[in-house]
Amino acid sequence: MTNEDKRARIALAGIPNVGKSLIFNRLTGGRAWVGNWPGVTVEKKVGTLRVNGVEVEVVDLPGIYSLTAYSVDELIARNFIVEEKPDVVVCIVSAINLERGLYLALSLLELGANVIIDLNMVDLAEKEGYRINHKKLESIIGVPVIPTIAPIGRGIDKLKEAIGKAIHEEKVQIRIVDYGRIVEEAISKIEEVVKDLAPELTEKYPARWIALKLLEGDSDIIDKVSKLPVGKEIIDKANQLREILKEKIGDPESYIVERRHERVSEIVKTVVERAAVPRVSMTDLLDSILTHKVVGIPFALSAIYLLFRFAFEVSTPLVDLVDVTINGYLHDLVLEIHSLPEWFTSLLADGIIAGIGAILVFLPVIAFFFLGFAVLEDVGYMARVAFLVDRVFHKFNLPGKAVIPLIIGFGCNVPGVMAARGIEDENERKTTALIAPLASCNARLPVYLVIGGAILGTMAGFAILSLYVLSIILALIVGLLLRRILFKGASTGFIMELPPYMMPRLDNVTIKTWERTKRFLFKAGTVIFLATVIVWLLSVTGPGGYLGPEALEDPHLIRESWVGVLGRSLSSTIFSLMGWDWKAAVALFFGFIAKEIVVSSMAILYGVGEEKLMDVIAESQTFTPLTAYAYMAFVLIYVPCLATLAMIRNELGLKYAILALIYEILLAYIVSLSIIGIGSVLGFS
Amino acid sequence: MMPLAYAREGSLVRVSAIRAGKGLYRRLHELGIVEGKILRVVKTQGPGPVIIEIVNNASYVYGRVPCPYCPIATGGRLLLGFGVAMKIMVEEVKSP
Repeated sequence: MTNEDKRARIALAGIPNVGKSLIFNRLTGGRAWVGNWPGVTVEKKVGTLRVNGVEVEVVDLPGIYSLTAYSVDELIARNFIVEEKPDVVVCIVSAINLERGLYLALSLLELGANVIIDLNMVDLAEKEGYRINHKKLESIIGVPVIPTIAPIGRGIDKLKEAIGKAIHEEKVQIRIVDYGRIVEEAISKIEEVVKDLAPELTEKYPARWIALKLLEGDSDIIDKVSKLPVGKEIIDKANQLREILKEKIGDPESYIVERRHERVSEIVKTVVERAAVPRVSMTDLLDSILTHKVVGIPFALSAIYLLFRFAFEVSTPLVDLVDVTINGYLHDLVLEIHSLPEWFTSLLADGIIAGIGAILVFLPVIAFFFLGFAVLEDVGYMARVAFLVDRVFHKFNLPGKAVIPLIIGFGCNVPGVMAARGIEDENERKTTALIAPLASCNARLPVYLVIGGAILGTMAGFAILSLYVLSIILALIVGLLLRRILFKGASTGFIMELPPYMMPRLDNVTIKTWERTKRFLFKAGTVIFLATVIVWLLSVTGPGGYLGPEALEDPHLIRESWVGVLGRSLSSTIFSLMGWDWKAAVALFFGFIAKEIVVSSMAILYGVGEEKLMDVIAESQTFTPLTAYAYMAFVLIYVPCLATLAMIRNELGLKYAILALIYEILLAYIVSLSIIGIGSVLGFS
Repeated sequence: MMPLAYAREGSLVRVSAIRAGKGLYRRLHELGIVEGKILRVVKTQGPGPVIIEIVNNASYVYGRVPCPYCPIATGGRLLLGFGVAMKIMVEEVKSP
């Protein structure tokens, strides 16, 4: 450090699935989202580390394989290293994925970074039957190599020590890969030209690296060089040399990558020592069942079913508790306060407290669902599920990985949309984010249960199951349509690192569960809360003016409110073909906030408590079995809830949020109408 | 020659050609999947996505398993989607 005021800064780099997030946590003691999923670290994460009493900033770079200009993540990483000049770059290399890790390490060294190698998961390598001689590795590539086992914290102190030492050391330029005489000559020629004509460029980037990248035809560097006044001259020289190389060795880009790989292989051969004959690994044993052609899928289905059962069963007492205290006790308590104006206590109880209740009632289910999901993810099972479904998803132009956002979507669409981030290809990512709202989330289930239970009787279970199947089919079909019409273009390919199975780790799982639940709470919570208040306002006022809070209790009064007016106009126009009455239409309007509200608003509209709602609906003759089923399908599809829309806007922009809104309304309408049409033809009523 | 998607589970195959666009070609290259490399087909849904391991030394092919002198697959496993597996052409060099 030249300047004492400036805080030292280090960066963490590594390919996906090397335990980078965990190392980040170990170093900073801070919170981070840790995962088995490649590409989880999409956001920039910063923490602090204390070394010898000095605070050091730690920046977590995205998981990358190399430093080309082909992917956004790689550009982020290399621009950070070049422009922000971190004092040290810790490259985390997994001992069970040595080749690709070292490839990245070599790329970082070529970029001129001050590298330390953290050789992680050395215990797993020993289980596989080999050891890596880290001293030898150190002497070959000339930078410190620290073996670690992140889950138990072994080696972390040594790593900190090495970081503290390296911060004060100047990096040495190492020529780590020899590209052979022909290419090396070309490199030195370009190097000379660059040093001569653009010395300012070599202050930022090592001249050798610029030369290499120009030979590789790196678009980002070509762009940067072209902008210089002397740019054309340099580019011309590079192109001229490229042409010569092409004749001698073929495509320079492929040649350079291959040389780098050969160098990695050489190093690996030298440093890897056989420790024992490998046993049949646990991973192979598990995979022979879990990824089996025939047994794999049924097993996955039962695992996911169990996940939902777990979330529901475990959260039930908590949900009841919240319901009784907030929606019951607290709500009634506030209404009893007579010293305040009536409209105010109603706003407080029926607007604000009801809003908070609507979120909190849902929170335990969501939290336990995320907990279970995080365990499956941490174990490494979700990557296998992606493998299992890829064959089917491929037919719909989606990668197997798209199954993850969909499964999360069955818990709650909001984090489901967000989980689409993990998909590298832009077209596939957008498509997945737009179909995730079709996953039948936990909030829809109460609606199915009440309406199905009231009208369909013994067929209810079958009807509900069919809706889940419908939800998957629609998601895939809409996905295919979107990929054919809006997000065309061949896939860049679905490739994923497949980690060995590991025991779930408490800190990984809690961090992930907490992060997702928190996001649900803030993102969904604020939207649901605001919307509840707005709906309250529209219910207690109408074209005739203020109706008073009695409207919420009195079905005849609410008929005159704004929502009543809206419901009646909807049921007499677009819903007339479906035969739903105005109460059902109003409930749909409420359901826009969060779909489970359809149930509570029906209770209000029928003027009964939720516990009696089923009987009342059954007696009211509002629905026939056919229109009830169509209504349930409509609830499944008709709109993403407000919070999901907000998330789509957040992830993809307003345009796509509107698109999602419109396509879902249209789709819901078409599907329900078809159900009624086909049903009547078949003789159902 | 056949697409990797059709390779048999447990077999060793040699990559003979990669028929992919520039982007995918480049990505596969960087992962170490290049012409001439030998892959172990760990899992397949024949035909479908595959899980592979890159094998670095040709002698592995002829060695008995388990073989204490054989080189070790230290490269980690990769899942290649159906689409990708159809674009990598391979020849079987050792049956399962």
